[in-house]
Amino acid sequence: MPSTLSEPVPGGDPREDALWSATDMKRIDAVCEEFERSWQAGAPLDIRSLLAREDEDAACSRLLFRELLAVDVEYRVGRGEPLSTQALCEMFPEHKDIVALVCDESLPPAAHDDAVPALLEQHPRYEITGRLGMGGMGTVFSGRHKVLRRDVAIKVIRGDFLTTPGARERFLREARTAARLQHPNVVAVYDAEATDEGQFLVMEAVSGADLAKTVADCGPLPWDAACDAIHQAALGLEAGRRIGMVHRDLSPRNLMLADDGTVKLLDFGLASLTSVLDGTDQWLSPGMLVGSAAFVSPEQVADPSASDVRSDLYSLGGVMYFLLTGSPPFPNKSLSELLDAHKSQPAPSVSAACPDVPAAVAAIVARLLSKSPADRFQTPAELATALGPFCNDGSTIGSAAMEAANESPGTSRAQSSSRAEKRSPLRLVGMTAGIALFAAACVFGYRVLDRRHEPRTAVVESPEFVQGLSLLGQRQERQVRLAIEKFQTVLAREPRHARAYAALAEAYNLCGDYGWEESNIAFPKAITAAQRSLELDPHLAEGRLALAFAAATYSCEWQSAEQQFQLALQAAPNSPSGHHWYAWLLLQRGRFDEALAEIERAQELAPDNLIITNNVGKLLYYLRKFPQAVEKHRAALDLDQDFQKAHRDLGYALIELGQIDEALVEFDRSAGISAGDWDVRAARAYALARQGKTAEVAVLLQSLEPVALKENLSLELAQIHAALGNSDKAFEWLNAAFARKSPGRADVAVDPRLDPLRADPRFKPLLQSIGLAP
Amino acid sequence: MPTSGSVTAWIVSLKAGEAAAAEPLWERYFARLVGLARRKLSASSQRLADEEDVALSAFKSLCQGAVAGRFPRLTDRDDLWPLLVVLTARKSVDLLRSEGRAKRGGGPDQPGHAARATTADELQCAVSQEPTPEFAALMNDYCDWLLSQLDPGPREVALLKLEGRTNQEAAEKLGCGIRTVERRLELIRRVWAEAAEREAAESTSRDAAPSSNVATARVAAPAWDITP
Repeated sequence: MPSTLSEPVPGGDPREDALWSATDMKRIDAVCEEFERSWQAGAPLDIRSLLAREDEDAACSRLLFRELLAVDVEYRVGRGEPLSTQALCEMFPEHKDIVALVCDESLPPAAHDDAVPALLEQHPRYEITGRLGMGGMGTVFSGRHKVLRRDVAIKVIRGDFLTTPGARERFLREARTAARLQHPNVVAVYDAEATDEGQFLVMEAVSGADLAKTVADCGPLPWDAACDAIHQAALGLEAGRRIGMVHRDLSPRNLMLADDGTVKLLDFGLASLTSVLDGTDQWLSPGMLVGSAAFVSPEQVADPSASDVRSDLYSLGGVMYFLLTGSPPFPNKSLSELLDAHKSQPAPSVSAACPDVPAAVAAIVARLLSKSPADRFQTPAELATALGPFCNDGSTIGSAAMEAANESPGTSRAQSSSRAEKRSPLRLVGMTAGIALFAAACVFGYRVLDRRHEPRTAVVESPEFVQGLSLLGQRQERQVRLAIEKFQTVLAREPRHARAYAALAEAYNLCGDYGWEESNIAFPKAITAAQRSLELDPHLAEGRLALAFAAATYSCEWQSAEQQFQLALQAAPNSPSGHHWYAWLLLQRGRFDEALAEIERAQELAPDNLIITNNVGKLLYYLRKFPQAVEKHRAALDLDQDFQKAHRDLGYALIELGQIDEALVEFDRSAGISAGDWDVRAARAYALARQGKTAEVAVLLQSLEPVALKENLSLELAQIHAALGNSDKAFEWLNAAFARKSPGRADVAVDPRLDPLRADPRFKPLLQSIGLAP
Repeated sequence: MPTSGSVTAWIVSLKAGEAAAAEPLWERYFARLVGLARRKLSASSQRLADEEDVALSAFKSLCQGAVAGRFPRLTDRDDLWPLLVVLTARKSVDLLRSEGRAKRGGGPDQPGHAARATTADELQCAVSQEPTPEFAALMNDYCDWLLSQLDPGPREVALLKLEGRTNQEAAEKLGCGIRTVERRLELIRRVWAEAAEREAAESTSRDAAPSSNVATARVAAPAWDITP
């Protein structure tokens, strides 16, 4: 799927994230009131400084931000300020999900209109095939040239741009110039149209993501990948310089990383469309500007029109700093502070933030960020030459691309494919950023990318290991068992392969957790393998995660499990599985707000992950948020309507909403996908028990009880008997589950299905036995 | 059984279909409640003279809204009346139960399926029986007590909403943004849910003391009784 602009990361509404205490909400209300007063007085306070002033925990601060932003947007819209989701996202990159939510509520439809515009509905040459995202200047669609059958990206310019006199002519003139520039590192402009109905620009479709999203998804880049990216950008910039073009608005958002690792400059030569300048060369309103302002050069601050290619080099230095450290050079500043910092504050050193970046690379960034243009590299070619030695395959690519600078697009395609064969570090980044990978690969992939902690050779993995990871990610019994064989093969050959041990540990954890193997057999094997992996590499996040998972799920050693989770998440803060599993521990320990925050983080990191999406629903179910749980299970089914567990869990949530007949339909669907599954039969029995159909339940129980121990159904049987009011039987099965250390037994602490048993004196000792009650 | 906290969550997420189905019942219920509110207010006209009380009277707001032709709507997710009805209905059930229990000699209720009514059912159940004068009296006092739990800013929002004003109208009247009205509605729901919970818990502990004759009790152990 081609992509030129990224979507905001989806996330939950903090209003519904948790059951907020009235005290928290009152405090937030007071801050918002103060903020609103400042708006009414004509001198709005800065949201960031308000957030910084309030010493809130993370969840609370999300809610505060949501409420402050809602007020802010309402007043800005009321004042007629042009606002866009993208500009606000860039202003608050850490809260993109909330920005999207608030904009959706508050911005007038024109600002986030994604309807196909009239002028493209019946266009003779172009047809729209999808929507790629929102930019400051309008919406980007994926499209197709009808005659040439070429995929393109079509940027439809928002109506309120290009309204100043002469702006349309200027737009066409710039598009014409941009179309002259043909280079592998520049997104090509194919066509432009400006009529009374509107304007649009047709560009090369790039399959990948921009560098802002790449860093948001994968964290800072390994230094050699960052060098490669900036090196390529410099080549594109140099090609423009040769025909007299400057970019003037370079930011991570304007640098596309294609799936094959090619970096391409976006919106080159389209200054009138970018947010830096409007038709009169004045700074636009704050909201429009801040995204680019983080990377703007000191001389542009002083005089927006006084920029040459050395201003672009300053911006590129800012982008490089961002790629290496994950934040722009002057973060957390208001607009005026930011512009001032560009002019007078010394640029921070990369080495201070990332000590393992070679000094020579840090020096290149420092030189780019010089206040005076004369102290910087004078041309992009100079920069490219300086970076060459630090790029994995920079010299060959570099010279080849340089030669291609003024050649035909055909050459550039050949260029891209030669790059694809080379397995450059950036290509790995591109592949991972572009495609949503399943959770396991993200956890493990993180290490592949993050080579600051590993020898460079680790990038080339044995095929068995890679296959094993992929099999592991499928979470199916046969595949996981095959994965175990693969990892064992790898370990027979390389007995010191720490990550293979960690992966093996995860595989055993899955066997125990899904009940494919006895708890008492699977988990001890997982613990041994995880410990071995940590002996070999004490910093290995996957090893810690596996150990944490077993400590929580099997041993119920809560404190050590939590400690391991925290260490693992420190080493791999973007591991969806890490956040996902940690959420479960927090849930079982009754820390619901934290649990929600963690699982939401997991979801943010892997928005299309089936298991995580479904388990967000499950967690909401345990939190008694049944309508929201239903929504999430349905979202999982939207991802894959044949996901058996989502049908089952949706059914359980529907039961709590009193929709037992609908629940039974879901259980039928679940059984239809995988007929032999006992858990679905148990679910049916539970639904019927809730309906009081004791005779039918009895028939089902006759088939369930004999296999219950073998199939790991003790907890399900306890739930059924609880629903029937047979406390004694229910406790028999609970005791059985606890005696066998069933992996789900800690869920008992929060399971709504066991509520009828909670007041029973036999209940608390059970929880106490696993350290979940005083 | 859901706690009061989940009542607010549920009311907020009340499905459009369910709400639409219950709307006719709701309208009939409210026509009757307005009648009772008027009677209640005129019976206590002495109290109405007291400005402090007037400001705090939920029923007064209800009557004012009704006079202006504004009836609360179940399908309006910003309306506070559905929440007040559920909270009052729950309280009156608690009263009845604890009276019955006192006759049986006490002892905690067995949590079971009878107590597992969802909030949807509770609301349906509440509005399918017409309010009695006793219920209206209870509701009047209880709602005013709930109003008194609010700080002045949110209380103004609550009163305007109880009058059947839209968020837009409330914002204009108060000279604030719509977002502020919305935010305060969330706050109001939460304050009320917590107040109701706290009050029920206090009644339970009073109930446990032999000398107490305060007849309020929780229906069942809260599902949230999860201590790590």
